Amino acid sequence: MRHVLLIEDEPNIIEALSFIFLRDGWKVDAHSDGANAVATTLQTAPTAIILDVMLPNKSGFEILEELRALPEYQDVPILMLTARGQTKDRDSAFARGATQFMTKPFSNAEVLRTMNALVGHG
Amino acid sequence: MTLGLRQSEVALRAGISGSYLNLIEHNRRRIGGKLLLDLAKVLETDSASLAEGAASQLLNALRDAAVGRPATRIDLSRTEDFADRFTDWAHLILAQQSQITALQQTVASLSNRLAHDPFLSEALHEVLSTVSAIRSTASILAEPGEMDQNWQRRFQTNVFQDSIRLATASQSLADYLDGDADQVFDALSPLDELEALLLKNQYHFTPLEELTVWSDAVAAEFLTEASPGARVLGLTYFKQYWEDAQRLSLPKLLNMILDMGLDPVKIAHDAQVPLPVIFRRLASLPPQKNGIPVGLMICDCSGGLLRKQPCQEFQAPRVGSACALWPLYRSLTQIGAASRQRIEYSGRTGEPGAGALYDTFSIAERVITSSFDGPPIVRSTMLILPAETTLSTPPVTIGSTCRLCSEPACLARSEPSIFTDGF
Repeated sequence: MRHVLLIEDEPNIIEALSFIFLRDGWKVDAHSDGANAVATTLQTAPTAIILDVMLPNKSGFEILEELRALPEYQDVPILMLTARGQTKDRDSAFARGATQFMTKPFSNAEVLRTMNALVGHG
Repeated sequence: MTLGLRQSEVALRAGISGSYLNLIEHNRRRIGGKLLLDLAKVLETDSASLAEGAASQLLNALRDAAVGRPATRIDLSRTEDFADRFTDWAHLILAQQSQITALQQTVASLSNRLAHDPFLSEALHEVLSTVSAIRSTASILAEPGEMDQNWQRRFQTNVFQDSIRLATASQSLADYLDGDADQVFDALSPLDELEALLLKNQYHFTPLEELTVWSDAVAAEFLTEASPGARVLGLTYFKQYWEDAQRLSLPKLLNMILDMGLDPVKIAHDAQVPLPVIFRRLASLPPQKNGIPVGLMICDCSGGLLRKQPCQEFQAPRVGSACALWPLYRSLTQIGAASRQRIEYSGRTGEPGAGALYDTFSIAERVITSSFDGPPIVRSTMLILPAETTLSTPPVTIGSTCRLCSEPACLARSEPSIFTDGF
């Protein structure tokens, strides 16, 4: 079962992404605050994660580091989304263990294609 | 051409072609020797001034370009030789140098905002996030085929809400970039908000000048649109403004300026009023056309700027620390000692205000507290006036802030400059 957790604070982005992933046969969970993102991840146990960088209370980079420190999340695909597409942000994401990196505004089709590729689907 | 001669006539008399003369006129060929003498004779001028006029612009630009790149180690004594031998290349450098100067000015302005401005960063993030939501939702709605009506309605509502949000964020950003501080009060710190309010009123408040008995209500009239934080700061500021005006009224101050000029020390002595009061009073004179511009900076012990009233191009950085060489900071080390310092505003060639001279008058004072046990609270005040007289002592070169200053050998530098070291 493909299962994505959307960690994103924009409710309308969550809604749009939820729609395209559900339609493609994914199970979808969403979380919109940085503070409890790791706890929600452990609770929902997704097979892949979309993680925004700019989140309230805790940055996506910090959450990424905490997840990668957990043995069971060292290999789970994580796609980082950010409005800042500078090289240093991309480097910083990969250095912390991001599997892929994408800048906003993104294309739905590209996000879906990337996530399917990351979980080895299709 | 002077003397009413046409270009072809001058060329003919000097024994050269019209096109070659055209190249000389536009500084694309350098002249010397017999040709210089012939042309000077035809134009009835002396050869030295003719040669100097044609070449000085190019040579100055080449020297500026070389000085701006100290690491390249260019032998300046060979500038003229280079311009003679490679005139076209020299003109290319001239054009590029002009372009670089213009770009650096743009970078300075943008960097100051982008790198140090939390409002701009937040506003851009808001715009990009909203655009992402709209794009993502709209692309679903634009897909061919039928869609469940409930989803369709939700997405249409989302796009509508996001479009309003985007319009608001874009308007706020545009207002900010246009410099309309009123529209972004919510996003600024209370101190920034108060400074914007003072600037909008050109630092002068006539009702407070005429007020005989202090009234919070009169001051509050200026703060009707202020945030709670700015209101607190504003009331304190206006109370001090009024107290200063009580100690030295505007008519009396204007008469003193007429008698003894804009000399803060003389005025303070004559009025028997402390210097910081005089500085503040001079900085709140009524705005006049062609009046002398007055700047005022005030900082506390931490170096944080509490007032940022610019004087012409001499400005405090929008966010972050100012140049450590400001006399304002030096005064913190000698509380109560007044100092006068001629300064030269550092800047790159071509930057507005670069090389401008100002006279600064600084003094730090202990702010009276009601306790014997607490740490001293000190504030330093610096008045800035354009320099008008000649001083025998050389000026101290200072800038606005390290990031936007290209002074190469500054011992006080705390950060690299974006002009010499990049980002």
